[in-house]
Amino acid sequence: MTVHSKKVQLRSITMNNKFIHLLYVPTMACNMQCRYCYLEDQTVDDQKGSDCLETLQYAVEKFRRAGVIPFNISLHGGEVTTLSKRKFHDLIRYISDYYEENRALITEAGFKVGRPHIKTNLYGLDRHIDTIREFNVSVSGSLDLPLSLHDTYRVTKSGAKTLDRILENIRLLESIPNRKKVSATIFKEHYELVDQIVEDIRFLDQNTCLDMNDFNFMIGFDYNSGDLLHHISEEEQLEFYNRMHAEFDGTNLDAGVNGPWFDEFGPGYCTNCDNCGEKFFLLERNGDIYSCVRGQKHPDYYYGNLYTDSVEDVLNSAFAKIFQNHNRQPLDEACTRCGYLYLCKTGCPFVKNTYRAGRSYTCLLQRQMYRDRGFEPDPANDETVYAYVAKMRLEDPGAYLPKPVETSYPSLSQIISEDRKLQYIYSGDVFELEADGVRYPLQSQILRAAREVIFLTPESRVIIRMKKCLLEQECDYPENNALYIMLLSGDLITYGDEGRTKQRHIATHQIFKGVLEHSSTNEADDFVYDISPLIRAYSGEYAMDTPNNLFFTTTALREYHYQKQKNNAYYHIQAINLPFQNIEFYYIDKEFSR
Amino acid sequence: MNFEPETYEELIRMKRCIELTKYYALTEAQLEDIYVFLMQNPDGSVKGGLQNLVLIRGTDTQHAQVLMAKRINTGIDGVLLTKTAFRVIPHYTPSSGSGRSGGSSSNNNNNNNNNNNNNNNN
Repeated sequence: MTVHSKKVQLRSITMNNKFIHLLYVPTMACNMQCRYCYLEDQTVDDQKGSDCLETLQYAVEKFRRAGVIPFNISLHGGEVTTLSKRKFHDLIRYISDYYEENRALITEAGFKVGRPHIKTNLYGLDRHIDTIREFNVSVSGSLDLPLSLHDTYRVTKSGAKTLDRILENIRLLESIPNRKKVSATIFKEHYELVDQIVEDIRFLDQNTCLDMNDFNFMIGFDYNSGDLLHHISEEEQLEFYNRMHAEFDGTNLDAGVNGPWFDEFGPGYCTNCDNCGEKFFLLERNGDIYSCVRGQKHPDYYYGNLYTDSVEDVLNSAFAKIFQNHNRQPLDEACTRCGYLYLCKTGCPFVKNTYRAGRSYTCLLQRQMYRDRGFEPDPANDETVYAYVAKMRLEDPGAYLPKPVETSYPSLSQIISEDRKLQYIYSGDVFELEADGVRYPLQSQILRAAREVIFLTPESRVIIRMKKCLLEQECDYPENNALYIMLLSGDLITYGDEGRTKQRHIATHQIFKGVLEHSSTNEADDFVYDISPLIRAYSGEYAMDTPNNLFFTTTALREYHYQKQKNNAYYHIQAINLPFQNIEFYYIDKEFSR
Repeated sequence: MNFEPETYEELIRMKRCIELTKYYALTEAQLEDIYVFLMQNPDGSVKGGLQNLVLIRGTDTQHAQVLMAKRINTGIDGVLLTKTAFRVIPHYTPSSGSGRSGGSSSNNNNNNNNNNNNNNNN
């Protein structure tokens, strides 16, 4: 096979695959008991009977057979360093081999192939230092900053302090050229000691091998700390961010404070997805799949089990659950106006539901960051909002339709606004159809945001209401004027000189003023006329498989529309379809005999 | 759907469900779920989006049921089905494209150049 054909084949494989980020939790056990741990008392290994390597191999293979390729496999806990040396080594070797075997595929898909990566509390790192060295494992540790709080919160199950040992373990990484970073979560209790945080960042930078430019903050949100920790307000988040910039901009940590430190709130992370359930998955050793560490063990973020469910079911469940979780909170209208929806996507659904809020809990901070990092507000924000609502929200996307594109000639809405007669033709307030007791205000076919289809039967009672003023106003001879009804079939036919394919005309019906006035059901402002017999009269002509069409106007307004077309080319090109108020319908009287 | 409607109400409900299949790839089981949902929830609605259908009881979006369903008609961005409405939201083409088509059915209906353009009111 030539290099070119191999590339073509690779591209085809890439296009036909779905790439995911897989977080694997090989053990729920932890050697520490941080007082605020989100897993609470679940950090014991009760998933007996499954081997952690076998589960990962099984999952990766099952995903692969379904066309799903992890572009990243990271190990998380529990605490991965509680695994035996052998198991830890075998897992890391498997991931390392996986990356090598799939390097071309992953790279072709646009993802960077990294080293095997672990998230760890660093407490038991020494046991695995040989494996870390052998495979150049990327290490991401967790600390509490300031370090004075580390020993308060991050303790062993027996309550012993952990910081000294962790710093010793960090020293073990000095001779390994791997990526070594730490992260720290900021709650109110940490924030109040911000001076110490600044000092400790400098301490870690100057006295350890940690790459403090690769450090990152997480802004804490409290949902199960038992009142131990409290979140900081959005204003405090911003103050904290500004303080870090004041301290570290222009220093050797400039790249960090302007980069990774706050990257979690930038566009590169999971919350930048419309639906993170399309891309991010957490696998437990027993085959359970959750969204991520935040959703781990939460039924609303449980996607299924890879041993018992198909990959398709897991993927569908993932999309559906994240969709559902986002929609548990109403769309915050501020998100539709801010201009950064394209980056933020309203934030993490888990936190939004924890706080019962529609927008990200770090909204202020994010917006500041975006501005500082040169991200412009979306010039096509209205289109982004529409696309987001159409994909991810239960709100009516029609309410978020972008404004019409500006043209070099007068727009239809402008032409209408300058012409009183046209305003009647396009008004949404002058015709109303009542079918079987349900009223449907009729809108111009051209202006309506959605097509309305109703279902009629031989038993249906169909009534049209028309504002009486339609016949009187903007018409020189009202007695000559009439309610003008057009019935069109859903079947298509090619008409006339233009050769245009259109809906086939069934009938045109005019009801003159005198007749309308004799209707006994008229109301103060409306003519009310029963058109059921008219609908029934053409029952044999209606299309069965596509909706038929029913238009209403007046004779005078119809004439005016065509006159306007002749006089005004700008109007003509924008009103090339029938502009009148309409509703589409099926007439079903034959099915019973089918 | 594997049953015979006996009333117009049932027939209409069935037709509305079948109409959904013009826009979404639905399994027989999903169709029956939707039918039963509409039958049991007179105030229920089915909202179709770009990748799914959502069954909503009244205004209770907290407990909405999501059915994954591939949209097979790219001419739409969604549908809304209630006891009284079947609404189709036409696809919006971003400004880089040719603009929105409006709520017209997919066919051109202007009859300026063909039948019945006479003035018969004299």
